[in-house]
Parts: sequence; C-alpha cells; structure tokens
Amino acid sequence: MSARIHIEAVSKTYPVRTSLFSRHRELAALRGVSLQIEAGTTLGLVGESGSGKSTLARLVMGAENADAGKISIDGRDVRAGLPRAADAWLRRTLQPVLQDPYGALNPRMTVAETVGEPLHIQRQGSRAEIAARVRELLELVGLSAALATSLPVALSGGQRQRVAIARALSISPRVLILDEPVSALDMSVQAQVINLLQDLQDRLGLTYLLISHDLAVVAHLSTQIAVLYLGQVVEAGDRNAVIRTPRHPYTRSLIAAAEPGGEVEAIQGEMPSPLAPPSGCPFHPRCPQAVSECRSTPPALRRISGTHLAACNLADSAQETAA
Amino acid sequence: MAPDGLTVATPVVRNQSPPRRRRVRLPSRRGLALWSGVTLLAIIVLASVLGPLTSPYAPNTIALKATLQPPSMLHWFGTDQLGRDVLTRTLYGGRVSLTIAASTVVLAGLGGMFIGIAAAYLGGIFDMAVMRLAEVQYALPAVILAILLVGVFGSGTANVVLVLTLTNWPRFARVIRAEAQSLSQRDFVLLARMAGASRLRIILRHIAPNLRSTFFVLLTLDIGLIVTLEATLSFLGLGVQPPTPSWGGMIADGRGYLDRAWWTAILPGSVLMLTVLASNLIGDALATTAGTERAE
Amino acid sequence: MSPLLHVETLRIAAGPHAPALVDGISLELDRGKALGLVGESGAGKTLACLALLRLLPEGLHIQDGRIRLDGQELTALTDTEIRRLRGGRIGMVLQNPLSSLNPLMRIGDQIGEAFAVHRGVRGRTALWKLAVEALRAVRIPTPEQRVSAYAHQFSGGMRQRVAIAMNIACAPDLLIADEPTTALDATIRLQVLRLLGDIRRERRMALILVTHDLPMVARFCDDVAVMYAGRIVERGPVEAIFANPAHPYTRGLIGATPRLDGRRRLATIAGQPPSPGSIASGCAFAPRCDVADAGCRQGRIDLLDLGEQRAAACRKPFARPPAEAAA
Repeated sequence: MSARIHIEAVSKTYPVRTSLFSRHRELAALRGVSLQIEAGTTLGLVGESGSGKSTLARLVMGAENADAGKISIDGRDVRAGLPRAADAWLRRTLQPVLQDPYGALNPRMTVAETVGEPLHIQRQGSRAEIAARVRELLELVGLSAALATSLPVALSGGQRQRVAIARALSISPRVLILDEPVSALDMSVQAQVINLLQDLQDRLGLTYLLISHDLAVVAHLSTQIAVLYLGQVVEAGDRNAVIRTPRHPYTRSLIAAAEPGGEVEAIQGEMPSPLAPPSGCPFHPRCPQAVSECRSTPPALRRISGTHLAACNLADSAQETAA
Repeated sequence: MAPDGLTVATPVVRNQSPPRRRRVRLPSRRGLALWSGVTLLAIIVLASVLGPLTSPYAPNTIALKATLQPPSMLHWFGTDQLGRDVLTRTLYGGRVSLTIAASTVVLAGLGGMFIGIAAAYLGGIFDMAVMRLAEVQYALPAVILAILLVGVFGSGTANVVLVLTLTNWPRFARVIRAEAQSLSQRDFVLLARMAGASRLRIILRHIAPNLRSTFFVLLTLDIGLIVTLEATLSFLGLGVQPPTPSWGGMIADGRGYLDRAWWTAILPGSVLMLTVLASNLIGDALATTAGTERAE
Repeated sequence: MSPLLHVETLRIAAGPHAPALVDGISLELDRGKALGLVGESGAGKTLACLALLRLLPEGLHIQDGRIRLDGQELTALTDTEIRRLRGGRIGMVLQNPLSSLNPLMRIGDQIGEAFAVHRGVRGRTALWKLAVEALRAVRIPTPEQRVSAYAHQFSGGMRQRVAIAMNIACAPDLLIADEPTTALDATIRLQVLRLLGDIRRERRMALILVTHDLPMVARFCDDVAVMYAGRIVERGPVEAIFANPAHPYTRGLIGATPRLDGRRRLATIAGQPPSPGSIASGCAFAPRCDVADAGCRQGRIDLLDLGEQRAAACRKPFARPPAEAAA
C-alpha cells in the first residue's frame, strides 16, 4: 500500500541576476542531498528560509527537475516532463499540500468541484461516483457535507486546508508532500490539522514528506528528521535521536529556539545567501564551536550511530561513512 | 513561490472565523458612485432606445423656417441650423454612438482577452510579437491611429467599429496577460497541474474564470473611451457620415454657431460627457471592488 | 509603587451599540516588566494595543474605559499630545518589518526622525550620530556603515532590529511589540527576543509582547494575559499559569502546542472562535468548553481573583473534564 521514497545526491541550481546589468550568478539551492523515506513513515525536513526546503518539495513533486541526482518512488523515476503514462502514475502516487490555504483553492470553484477535480482529470469514475467519493472525502477530513457547495471565500483557513487535504487524497495517492501545511493556521486549528494528518496516515498507510521551519511540528509528526542548512543535510536520523542527542550545532540552536529553556544558546548572525556560501562547513561563520578546520574542510555526513548522521567536523564519530 | 533564499518564511493570514454574511456591502461612497453611474447610463441608454420611438420629430427633417431656435417647450433642446430638432438628433445619435461603443467594446474585449491569455500561456515568440505590436500601437495616440486606419478602410459606421476595435484591443490584451501570468503563479494552478490537468483545462477552468472581474472593469471603463474616440472621428468627419446624426458630428456642426446658438453643440456635448462620466463611475467602483477582492 | 500602565474596562467598537471587538479589558503593567498578550486571531489583542496609541483603524473607537500611563489619562489627551507620546514614551513594533520602514529613506534619516521629533535635535550629522548609537544598541554590526543604507538592503531580522531601534531611540517607558518575530526564522527569533529582553533590563522599559507563541511567552515574559473574543480570560505570572492553567481556553491552547517531546495526539479545542457580538450572554468560550454547564451560558462572567496575582474569567477555574487522566 505505501511507498518508499529515495532521494539520491540531488542538486539544483538556479541562474540568478542580481541586477539588470550583472551577469548570471549561480544560486545553489540544493547540493548533494540524499534522503530515504521508509514506506508508511514520516520524514520531517526542517529548514529555515534559504535552506532549500521548498526547492526540494518542488523536485519531489515533479514540478521541476534536479540538475544532478535522482529521485524515485518504489524504484520508479520522479521527474518533470515524464511521458504521459509515467506522468499519470506520478500524479496518482504523489500529491502535495501547500502552505497557503488562501491560495490553494480556486476562488471560483466550489468545494465539491475542487475536491473532485483530480478525479475528473484522471477520469476515475462517473459523475455520480465522483460525487459520492467527494462526500466520502469530506467526511474523512472532518468537514460537514453541507460545505460541498460553498465557495472558498466562506471558509476559514483551517477549513480551506482540510479541503486541500481532501483534494490531495481524492485520487488515493500513497505519498503526500506536505510543504508547511500548518504554518498559516492559528494554534488551535493547527492542532486539529496535525491530528488529522496523523489519523490519515494511520488509517491509509500514507508516506509523508513533511517540510517545515517549525521544529516542534516536525518533531510531533515525524519518525525520522533531517535538518537542512544552505542546501545541505547537516543532520539526519531517528526523531528521538536527533531531538534528544543532537550532534550538529545548528540542530541544537533550532531546538533552543523551539523550546527556549533556561540557558538559551542563541547563535549569532543569519543564514548567508545561497549566492555566496561560506567555504568549508557552511555553518562555520555562525558556529560557536568552529575551529580552523571548519573553514577549509567541508564535513561529510558522518554516521554517529545507527541511522543517525551529522555533518560536523567535531561530531563524535564511531566511523566515517560516505552517506 | 519564489526560489528559496529570496523569501522569508512568512506565515500568511491567520485563521479567521468565516464572515457571517457573504454579500459584499459597499461602503457608502463607493456604492453611491456605482449606483449613480448605473442610473445615469441607464437613463441615457433608455432615452436613446425609446426616445426616437416617441419623439414627434424625425432626425433629418429639414425645417428652414425654424432654424436655430433656442430650447423651448416645442423643442426641448432647440433646433440646429437646418431646423432639425436637436434633442431627437441627440437621441438618434446616442443610438449610433452607443451601438458602436457596445460592439467595439465586446469585439476588442473578447479579442483582446483571447490574445492576452494566449500570450500569457504560450509565451515565446507569440507572446513577444503580440506584446511588441501592442506597445507600438500604444506609442501612437489613439486618435492618430484611428485616423490612419480610417484612411486604410474608409469611413462609415461599420468601418468605425473595425477601426476602434483595432485601436483598443491592446488595452485588454496587456492587462489580461499580466493578470493571467500572475494567476498562473498561484498555488491552485500549480496544484491543478500536479493533478495532471492539461494546459487547456487550466486556462478554461482556472485562469479565465478568475479574470472575470478584471474583464468587466476594463469593459466598463472602455465604453467612455470608445464613445469619445468615436465622437472625435465623427467630429473630424471621418466617422459616421451625415446625415446620420452622431454626437461628434453634431458638435462639429454646432461649432460655428457657438456664439449665437450654443445649444446645437453644447447639449449633445453634455450628453456625451455624461455618458463618459457614467462609464467611469461604474468602472471605478468595480475596480475598487475587484481590488479589494484580490487583496483577500 | 503604582503601575506604569493601568487599563480599565477598555471597550472598542464601531459604535456605542455595535458589537465590541475589545470587550471591557483591564490590565496593569509595572515598570520594567514584560507582559505577554496571548490569543488567536480575532481575539482583539492588536486592537487593544493600537488603542493605547490611538491608532485604531477608521471606524473603530474607544467606547468606554480608561488608559493611564504613569497616572496620566491617555483618553483625555489631544491629538497633538498623543502624537508626542508615540515613539516618545510609548513605542510600537509591528509584525512586518518591511511595512515599518520607509523604503525611500535612508535608515539614518528614519531613526534620526525620532530624535528630531521628540528631542528637537537638528542637523543630519548630529542625527546620524545618534542613529549610529541606536543601531549599536540593537547590535547591528558596523553601524557606521549601515546607517546610510536603505531598508531593502537589510535582511528580515535586521529590519526588525532597525524598527526596534527606531522605537526605543527616545527611551520610551513602554514598548509594544505586536508579533515582532512571527515573520522571522526560528534562530533569528531567538536573537531578537533576547535583544528585547536585554534592552528591557538595561533601561527598565516595560514590554507588552503580543504573540501566539506560548513557549516564547513562557521564557521571555513575567506575566501573561490570555485573550479570547475580545476579553481577557486569564492573567497572572507565567510560571503559575503554564504549570496549572485555570481557564479551559488557556488549558486548550497549552495542550494544542506541539512540543519537542510530543505525545502523539494534540489536545484540540472543538469549533471556532465566535464572531463579535454573536454570544449574547454567558461565557464566550462556553460553546467550545469541555467543562461548561448551564450556569456558564448566562449573565456576564467577570474575572475572578484566584489569589497570588492570578485571575480567570471562569466559574469553574481549574476544572478538568472527567475523562482526563493526569497527563
């Protein structure tokens, strides 16, 4: 039922012009990112703006192509511009849920039309069958059937997000890409949607790639966590391992920011622009523990224990392993 | 969604409870503008349609005994230099002008909209060619262009419609193209693509329906523009040909009598002005509403 | 010592009989203390803060209530006097730093404006010198160089610091920060809040921090006031309230906050906040409350003093639903 996602050494650069007369520069959004998501589990990808997380979401969705590396689901290639049959397979296997509930719905389409559209596009069922499925889906996400004829303007943010989730589930995908699914929602609504996502995963055996800047939300839903900084994975592993025994200073600072305890380890500075990444370890200008080696040698992802990996020159390592 | 590095993780609008009543209540100032515009336009249109049917005078009957009569109970708008009833001619002229305006606006509007959407979606050479053409046209004053085109096609009512359509489609095309482009960046279009929607489906179901309000704003604002342009052409003798009455033509004829029979030019001119005013009031009010909608 | 800020039964609405968006709130703030104003959207927290500076949007007015700053009644001041207060004795930092800063003015001029208006300083050299010091106070590196820059040349976190600099330039007694870090990344958020904390201590400046982020309030504020549907439903010292919330809404918010050591299921509050004026009588939270009874839906539920400087607008404070095991 559920699917396994494989992301191998993916890189993506964008040519960018900073002013009208300057030459194109390279913005390295992602550099050599490798991740694996086991079937039926959730990988939470944490990153701030500039980390490349949205780029990765678009690549995994098949909205854009990577410049290097490979993305596959159950062994089948994921790319933009696949031949028709493969493209249809991709759409049926994987669906996105995006951040902005106010932009995710066509203002001129009713809830029923929005939720049913993927079914129409994929030609899955007659009118009556689709209508029945829409009713089923609305119930699944906890929306009253009376809302089927409403336009988005009558719905709250939380309701819109549920509609977006219902739409994503309509053609029974096995994978959901959740790109900041709750960031735009109020606290209590956020909790409702998080619970809903959890329930859906339990009931339908879905695989989730959850992307968020909010470590607490990620920690809540994920079985595995990966931390992204300036286009690279700096730490990855089991949720408990990463949260309780973080090995990378950046991860530690994210934890401190999420739950500021007594002694607050606030790191200085801001994430540098991806246009001008630092030499060596990308984090070294802000790292409280940086040594001279960190300026020159980019650290590889070292295995700490089991599946716990960290890219830090100073992380305790049982053995050095190429990720 | 801009590539990373250029946006801040900005949570958008927080969840709000749904508004209780979904009818948009216009604040009084805007509502006043809209309704006075609509009323005014309705009066003028109705008068132009019904007036000629109820008028005791024919528009072209010459009565040399009653030339240049000032407004009176007999002739509400007075008579012109050939003794023709100015009010009747104004109303007949209204028919002509409004018909031309309506046809032009619809043709230029629909044509411009199709071109605009096509340019936005096809991009590439088509887009470039169309936009450059539009820009060149924009660089010329509309009147000059219209005169040039009349030189090519000739004058007369049908040709005026053709000429004005050609003059006005860029206005629609440019704005619609920009709107269509911005719409195609919205999440719901991306999500439709991710569900496997074809380009055609996206244009028909997602882009075009959301262009409706912009389209109508442009339409209503354009009426005033077209009416003025047509009047200019007629004024110059290049539009509607005499003896068919038209506002522009009447103003041209009345020019020579401004000192002694102001009503022959001023009254048709005023009706022209009120039509343009009405169109602008409606267009402005709609534009404000559309702007607010977009902000939500 | 009397409190710095004393707000009493503040009521904000479009008209005397229109539904109240802020429905009779009262609070006190001592000099140098930080109050977290917590609530979801529509609770009225931003409006309450705008009212202090008479910056309410068009159509909304203070219908009732008193606002005393250091004994001075703010509602009685003329427009000119209130203007002198803004940026002078009370500063306000908003959520989106981009809208606080004028894109066409250099930073030095913008910060200098505060000094020009409130301290009567003249001349660009003098103003920019003060601006450099202000930038230094908010820990912007190389302030001498950055003072001549424009807003768009700063990143989000930097812009927020500049906005803070502008508002603390004239050493106000009170700084209101309305969701100052919501638009910022997590690590930057911590820096800015820490900065605010330090400034507060150095200058004995009072702070009202409007936010929905409960862990931040727990860490950076002394007291917290929870707002719901235009009323304050609970207030008191942060530790006490977060350890043992009295009002069911507060309990719900705390339960709904995802934590790093999270349990699998978050507590949720059913339903949605009411629109203004839709709850005619009784507790505005009653329809969503898991311990409400018939008595909760009648009359007006005022703040009940719970001792130890705590208060909650609840007839059954500290009540827990029967099924809830000790978590």
